[in-house]
Amino acid sequence: MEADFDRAYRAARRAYELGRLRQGLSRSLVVTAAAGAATAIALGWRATAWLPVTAVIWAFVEWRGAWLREGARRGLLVGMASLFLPLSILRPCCSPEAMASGVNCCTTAMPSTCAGVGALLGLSLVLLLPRAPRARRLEAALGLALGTGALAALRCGPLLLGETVGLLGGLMAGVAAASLARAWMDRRTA
Amino acid sequence: MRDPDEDELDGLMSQLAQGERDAFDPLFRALHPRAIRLARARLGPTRADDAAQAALERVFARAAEFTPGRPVLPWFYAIVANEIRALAREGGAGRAEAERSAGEAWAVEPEDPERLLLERELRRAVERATASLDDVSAETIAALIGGGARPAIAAPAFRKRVSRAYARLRLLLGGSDGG
Repeated sequence: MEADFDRAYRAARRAYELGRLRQGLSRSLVVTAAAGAATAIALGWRATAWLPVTAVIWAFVEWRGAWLREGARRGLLVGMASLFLPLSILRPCCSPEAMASGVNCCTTAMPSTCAGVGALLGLSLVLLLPRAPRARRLEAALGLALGTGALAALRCGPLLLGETVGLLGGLMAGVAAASLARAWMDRRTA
Repeated sequence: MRDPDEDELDGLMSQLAQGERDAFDPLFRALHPRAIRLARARLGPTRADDAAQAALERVFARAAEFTPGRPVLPWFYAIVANEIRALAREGGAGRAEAERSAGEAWAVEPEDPERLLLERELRRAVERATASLDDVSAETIAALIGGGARPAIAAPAFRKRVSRAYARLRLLLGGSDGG
């Protein structure tokens, strides 16, 4: 009797996880298709090479659900904004003015600028952090970072490696700082 | 441990649908005996455990599709009954068993306490599902199951209403599997 219960319990749990994974994959397909279309318009086809990263992150987030997904859905908005950041902001020496004045660093990596832009984006996420219970804040913040990263990764297509690391690293650092600030503010208002 | 009431079950299922794994254990412990009871009543004791397990796998595989805020028991019984019916057909049973599996007969006596408990809960599940429908559909379903007077309209109009009410109820119970 007990063995039957255990067997049914394990089978039901497995079915639950597989059901969530199936749903996560189908939702990930929709998000990835939309992100792919937006990327192709904003950055060109070359950037879509990073779409598998978006697909994997989104499938994971949808499968886990709960506060991770709640945070990630909000992070999508910021990730989308990063797609439309002009290259001249991420790489100032590539702006027409810089090119005209003879500065040419388009072939060298400038991680510091990208890290700065990423950190600014990350810090702006403080406004979007969901009001999760105390024990779940880390999960919500991680979701926010993953949701943002899922789309911001697409921005990395036209960037150099150092810039990519800078942008994503800046984003993560910004999210971490924003989460800490939000936790501090919540503690003060509680 | 105390058996959760219907509202608590609704809450647990809503949490599980959103990915809160902590809700799995209490929910499974509450739904497992219900699935066994229905499987025993419909198929008899020999096939009940396997049928209940298959039905529960189906329920939990579809947990992510559950709409939070809706009553869980009508949705649960719709899936379990459908699964048990399908399993009975797959089993290649004779005509009598096929009829029983289609919900036209019980494998236990009418006075069986488990059956009485089950019938009461099934009736309550239908009432809860019906209460979620619009007034006209709810009135139509109530008239069909003998819980209210048939509205004073022509027979073809009533048939149309029944068809619409069934479609809405089926949707509420989880799409085509809820039929």
